[in-house]
Amino acid sequence: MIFTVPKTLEELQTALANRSERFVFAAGCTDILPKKLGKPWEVDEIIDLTHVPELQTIGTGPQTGDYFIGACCTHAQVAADPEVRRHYTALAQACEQIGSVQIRNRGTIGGNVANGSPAADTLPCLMALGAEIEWIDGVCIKGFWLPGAQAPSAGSGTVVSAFAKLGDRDIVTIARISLAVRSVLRGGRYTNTAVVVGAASLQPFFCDEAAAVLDGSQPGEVDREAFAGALAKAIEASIPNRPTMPYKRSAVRGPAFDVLERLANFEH
Amino acid sequence: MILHFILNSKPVSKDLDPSRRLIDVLREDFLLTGVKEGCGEGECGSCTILMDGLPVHACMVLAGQLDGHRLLTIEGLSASGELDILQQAFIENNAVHCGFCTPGMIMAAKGLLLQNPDPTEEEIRTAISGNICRCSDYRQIVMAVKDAAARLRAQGGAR
Repeated sequence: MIFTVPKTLEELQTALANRSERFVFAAGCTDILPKKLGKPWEVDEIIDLTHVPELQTIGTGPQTGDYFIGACCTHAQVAADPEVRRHYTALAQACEQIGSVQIRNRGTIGGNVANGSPAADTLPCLMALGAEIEWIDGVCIKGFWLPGAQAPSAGSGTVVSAFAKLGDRDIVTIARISLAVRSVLRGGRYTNTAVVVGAASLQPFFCDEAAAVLDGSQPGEVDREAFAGALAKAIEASIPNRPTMPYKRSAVRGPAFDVLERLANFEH
Repeated sequence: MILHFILNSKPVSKDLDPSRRLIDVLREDFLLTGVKEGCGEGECGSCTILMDGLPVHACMVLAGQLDGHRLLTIEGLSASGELDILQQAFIENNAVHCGFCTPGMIMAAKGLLLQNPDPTEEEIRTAISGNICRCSDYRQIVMAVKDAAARLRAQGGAR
């Protein structure tokens, strides 16, 4: 077994260029170690990503005002970051609900995305917030760029966002349904809204019909039933033959109402 | 692979197979058997230790990732020969029944009190929400953490 520990981006690029055919990245290990439990490694090389400082940085880019979150930032780190809490609230709300304290102290945002679980909590948030992935040599996620709070899409308005999920219990739970909403408050009304449904089917998806319910509405005066109804229809269409469809179609009302309440209570 | 880290306040340099789990290294190489293996997949919290002051699962860390880190296990709390205030509070509040979950529970609470010396009950419950106890009563555990926090504040903060 080769265990490679790059300490710089250059060393990581060298490691990627020379990597074994069967390799795995290791960061928080909250996915790879449970999957491996009781079995031998099925790879020839482990590339550790936890000692590359650039993958753990979080902050504003030098020119665009966009916000960078390194792939190896832990969920706890993202949830506690003041700028994320202020401008990318949905992501902070998702990260502070992931797993337990121990999981949040180890699990990384890059791992949450790369693992690709249908129930991944950060995915719908990153989609709703318009995040872009920066890659290293097309193989490894370096991090995520979030549009700056003053980005053109926000115009003269205020970007607001919220996240809610439904699981088997209130905390330390895996999402059955998750919702991320991002909108721009302009003239006291929601505009340019994006709604993403997670965990309902294999991949998160945008729900334009639900977004349309919000657009033009004032916070606290959104037609909640129409919003939940649009989400229910979208879930029905996304998993028509799955046994859990009737449950999820009905249960989406819970996170739908929660996310609207959180959005309305948004405070900068 | 030679790894350098701090274990229970002592510097360590040791040749370890980097693909092994930290929990196995602690239990088998350092005989720190207070680190318990319950589920092995990050669900039960029995293997909780502090890594750089933060609670983590020892079953979710690879030995090869240890370089430069600071680890504290339940054994490190009483290295001086005296029980930590948290350990004492668990005993006095009858928060220990079979005891299997106790080391992880105490280390999760230790991580909380290091960051927040005056936690609310909700904050305590959140801090131990990843630690499962199947035979005790969480109320006694919460009482023990509250008690320890009060004693630590009286002494001037967590050590």
